[in-house]
Amino acid sequence: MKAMTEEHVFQCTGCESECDVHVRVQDGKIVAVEGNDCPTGASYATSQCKMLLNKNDSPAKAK
Amino acid sequence: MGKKSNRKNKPSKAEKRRQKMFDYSNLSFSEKHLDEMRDHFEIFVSSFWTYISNQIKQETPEKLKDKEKELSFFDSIVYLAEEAWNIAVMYNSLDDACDTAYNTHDPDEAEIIMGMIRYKKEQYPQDKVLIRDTETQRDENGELTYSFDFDYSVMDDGLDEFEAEDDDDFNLDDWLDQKAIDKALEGIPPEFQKAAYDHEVNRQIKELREKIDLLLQEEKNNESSPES
Ligand code: SF4
Repeated sequence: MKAMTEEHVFQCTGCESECDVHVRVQDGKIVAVEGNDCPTGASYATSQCKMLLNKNDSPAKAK
Repeated sequence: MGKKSNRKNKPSKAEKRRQKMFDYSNLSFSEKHLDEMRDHFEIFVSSFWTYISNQIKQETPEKLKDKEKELSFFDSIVYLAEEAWNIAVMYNSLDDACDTAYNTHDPDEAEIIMGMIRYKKEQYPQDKVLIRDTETQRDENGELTYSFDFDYSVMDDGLDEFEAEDDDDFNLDDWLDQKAIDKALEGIPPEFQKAAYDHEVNRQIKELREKIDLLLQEEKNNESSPES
């Protein structure tokens, strides 16, 4: 079975650079974080993405 | 026989300790947890790689093209990622981690490592296993790849936490062979004593875990065999 890959982009608010941080998600799991100019951006995007994935996972959302 | 089954519901102190020891070691070494950590370290490296590449791109864009293809550059990124990960695992306190990063690396490198330590602590605080044996290479397609392994050490602070949270009088020292530890430390220079101590304690914990596994398996077998 082919893995489902998607990419989410989060604009880091850590400083005025406002980097676009790309988070690659495969089968619901984060597999790569790219585009951050510093570790703060990686951490920010990872937590945003985790939140998004949890939200999508939550039963309240399920139809 | 009724009495016996009541006792089964209430595990003895020894059983509780043994279960706790098992839970702890199982928590540290379960395959699922290791798989997750493997994924987390890979994300950690990928974000570190782009962070450093972006820095070079901003400072000297012409340099990046060559650098990105250099095995030695890739190697140093993976090495620093390993360093940051391991320091974050070894120290619960950010101050202690910072001291170690600055004591063992030059200030520029230490600053980079500190950023990654914060990231690791924020996103993957539960991953308490060290990384070791990272190896980088160029595969047959010319792509840079790396491999790594886990060091199944239980860190001192991990053990402290374990002991502190135990409400019984569990003491890990009761389970360790002090004579073997003394022997392992014999003739070891002071600067390597801690490493030698950790190594010996970890070896003994691994051994204990195997014994516990066996005991639990025996118990399970006894339980599943009919009593009458
Ligand atoms: S990734 Fe770093 S440099 Fe980029 S916006 Fe965030 S904090 Fe600023």
